[in-house]
Amino acid sequence: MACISLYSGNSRNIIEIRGLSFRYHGADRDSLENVNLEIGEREIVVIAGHSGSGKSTLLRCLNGLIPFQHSGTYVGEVLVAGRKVTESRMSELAKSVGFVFQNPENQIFMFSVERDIAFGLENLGFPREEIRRRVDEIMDLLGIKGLALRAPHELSDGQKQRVAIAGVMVMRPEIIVLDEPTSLLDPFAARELLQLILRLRNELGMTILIVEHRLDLLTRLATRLIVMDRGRIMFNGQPEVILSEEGLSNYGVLEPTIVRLAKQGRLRRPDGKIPLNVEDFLEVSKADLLRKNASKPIIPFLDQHSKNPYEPLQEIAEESLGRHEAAVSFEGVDYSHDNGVAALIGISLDIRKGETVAIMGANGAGKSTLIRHINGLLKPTHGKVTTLGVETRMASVASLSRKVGIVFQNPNSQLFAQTVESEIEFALKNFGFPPQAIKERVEWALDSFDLSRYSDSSPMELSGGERKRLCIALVLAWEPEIIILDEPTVGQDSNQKEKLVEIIKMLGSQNKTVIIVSHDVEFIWPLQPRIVLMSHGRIVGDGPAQTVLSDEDLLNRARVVTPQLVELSKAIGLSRPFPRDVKEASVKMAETFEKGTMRTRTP
Amino acid sequence: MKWAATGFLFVRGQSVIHQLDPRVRLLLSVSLFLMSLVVRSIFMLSATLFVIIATTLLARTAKRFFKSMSFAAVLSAIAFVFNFFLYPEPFHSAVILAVRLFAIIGSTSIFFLTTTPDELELVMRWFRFPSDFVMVFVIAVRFVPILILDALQIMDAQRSRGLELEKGNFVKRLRNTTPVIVPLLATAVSRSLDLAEAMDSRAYGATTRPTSLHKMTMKRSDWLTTALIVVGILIGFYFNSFFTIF
Ligand SMILES: Nc1ncnc2c1ncn2[C@@H]1O[C@H](COP(=O)(O)OP(=O)(O)O)[C@@H](O)[C@H]1O
Ligand SMILES: [Mg+2]
Repeated sequence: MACISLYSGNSRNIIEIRGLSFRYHGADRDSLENVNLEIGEREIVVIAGHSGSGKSTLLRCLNGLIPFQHSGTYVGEVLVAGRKVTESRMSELAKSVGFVFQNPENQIFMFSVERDIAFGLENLGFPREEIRRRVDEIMDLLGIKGLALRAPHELSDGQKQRVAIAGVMVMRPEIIVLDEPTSLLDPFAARELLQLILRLRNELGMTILIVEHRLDLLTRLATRLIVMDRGRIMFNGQPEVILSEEGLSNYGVLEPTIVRLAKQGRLRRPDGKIPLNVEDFLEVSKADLLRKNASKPIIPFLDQHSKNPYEPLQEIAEESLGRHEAAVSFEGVDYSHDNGVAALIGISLDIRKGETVAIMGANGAGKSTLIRHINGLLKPTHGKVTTLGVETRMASVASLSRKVGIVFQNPNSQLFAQTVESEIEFALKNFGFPPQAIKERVEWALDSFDLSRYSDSSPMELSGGERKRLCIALVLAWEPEIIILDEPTVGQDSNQKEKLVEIIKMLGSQNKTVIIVSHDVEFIWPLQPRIVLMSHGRIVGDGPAQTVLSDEDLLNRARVVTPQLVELSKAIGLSRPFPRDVKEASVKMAETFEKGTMRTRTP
Repeated sequence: MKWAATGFLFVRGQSVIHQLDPRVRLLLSVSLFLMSLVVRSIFMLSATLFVIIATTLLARTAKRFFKSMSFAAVLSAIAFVFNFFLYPEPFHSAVILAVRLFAIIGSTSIFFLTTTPDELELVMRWFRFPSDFVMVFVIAVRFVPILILDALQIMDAQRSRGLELEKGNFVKRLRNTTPVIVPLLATAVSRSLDLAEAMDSRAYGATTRPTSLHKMTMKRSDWLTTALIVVGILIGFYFNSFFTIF
């Protein structure tokens, strides 16, 4: 494909935003406030910030969704490829700005991949032969030619996002904006997608704006990082400059582990910037070590204001586990869907009371099918499932659910009541709690999850994070013995993830059985639970996080990514047990430095 | 309920019938439909039914055909019982009515079992249906299975909160659907907002005459089949005037 860029030289700005403020019709505050931004050609711009900070709103202003589809108060001007957005037509802008959205399902309309990719060109009235040529070209480029005649339901989420990208690339836009394109994908598919985007950029040279929380892959290649907060641009500059700033996590930025580790050890490159890759990191930590050794013999790396937080990780002794009773047990369970597709194959699994278990694996590995057996929503085709001593075939879903609380992934698929309070009451009434108990428990749930001020509001008025908290609160209100969290981190920002960690730790300390279904290794790793790894309906790994999540071959086969800390520890030559968090890592590094076994050169 | 979702997921077939131009398939379906409607004798009706079943076998959709026709069979049986016992009709006319009902449903399902929504869309555009209308149709068909799956998700979530959908009297059961219906509507609305944004972002509505990647072309086999169908119809009508009852 020919180079898309129509302009020469880097001096020209392809996007110019001047004094832009926008308030959605009927809203009580501005979603964008006096935004000024210039973006040059061929830049890769990563936009970060809390949910609700205005990222999507900003992107919508680039292709005319604002003001043409969303009305409101619009001040200032936006120039895209030299054209003023407010004076263009949306269909014109669609040719310059390709927009890829978050939800793979909601941006594919047609019944075959190639028809869907052709959609934009068809709308623009391109001749058939031209459409054919371009669609084939783009499918080749994205490696999806084999999918040409597939229907949307025959695609994985990662493939759907690729089709969505192809559908905008085919119009040969100069700019591609992607609004959290990976947030519904599992990390493995997400990584593949980001790599694809970067490759396309290198081959075709378009400008990219991407809202993305996983900074580790993008920062090395991004030309710019923008952090938004409450409708304003708080930071705007080169990633290594912005990431050197302190307090970014307050803005919902998930710093790459290497950055956090460098900050913990107060390491900077000679030019004052933060190291972003392992080579730089080792270089500066070696220099740091030499300098510190030369001045006074203190332990390098250890934050002097903090006590030594590092205690050896506790490996759970086998026999101590053996003493606990079983909470859930699967015996030779197979499960097939109506259409004969096997979703679970030969599952045997014992989960003991008080255990915290993470069930991990790529999307579609069978995790959700597995947990639906625990409260009897699904019954095994062969074998049996016993939950707290009751065989699930013998009991109703309602009676099992009294003891097994499942917090489902998407809050929107369960909130229905008029008020937050009645939402919590719903299950309590179903389970026949007496009125006094209901009252107390509702109060407890509202209090403990910081939702009291919303008790009379509609659940629809809550933010995404608050809704998630409500869904957890309403399950914990009936005090189930087993708590299952299905993909708790999907769609949640860093603040919310921290709160989730606290909740899970609290449940663990109350000796509840906690089962977390997740593909999010970065979230699971610090919790160090027992890991049950699934792939294609089977359990392919079961053991402590230290063992399972550091076995790269196994993880690759199961399409799960290695935790950044494990990868980093291996790269810089730290021995097992691998550190749980950044603090532990820096202590461990200090020790290793002392012993002089630190690797100084990467292989 | 899951079968309902899979029933809407279209499979691209490979048979000779699938290779026909969708317009020819439509013609075939409509002709058989009209046949089933107008022929008077058992013999002619059986012949029509025979053609219908032969076509499904040829299209290798027999399995799905009989699955969906089990419903039609029940309907036909009810019609028979109703006509013969409750609303006394002579035996043979009750039989004819039941078989006719079966054939009518069978003939329409030929088209719908062998035609992907893509092709259906092309046919609609060929008939000059307004573009917006076609798009609404396309989106509706595309999202029916998705919404059914959404509904299943929601039911799982609410049953896990102790909701018992099957319990209680009629009024209670009706009330029990609220926790399912409300989130379902919310999800549907949010999906449609997303869709609108995605469509606008891909130049939807740029021209009133959008082009299409795929084009329907009548091959020689299509013309031949059309000729066959026309001949079939003529023969059918010719014989229809001979056989009045049997
Ligand atoms: N379609 C809309 N109508 C009204 N308000 C909206 C709409 N979309 C977003 N907002 C509001 O605008 C603000 C910024 O939201 P958004 O741009 O979606 O943030 P982000 O993408 O960073 O999560 C929020 O307060 C949000 O409630
Ligand atoms: Mg957003």
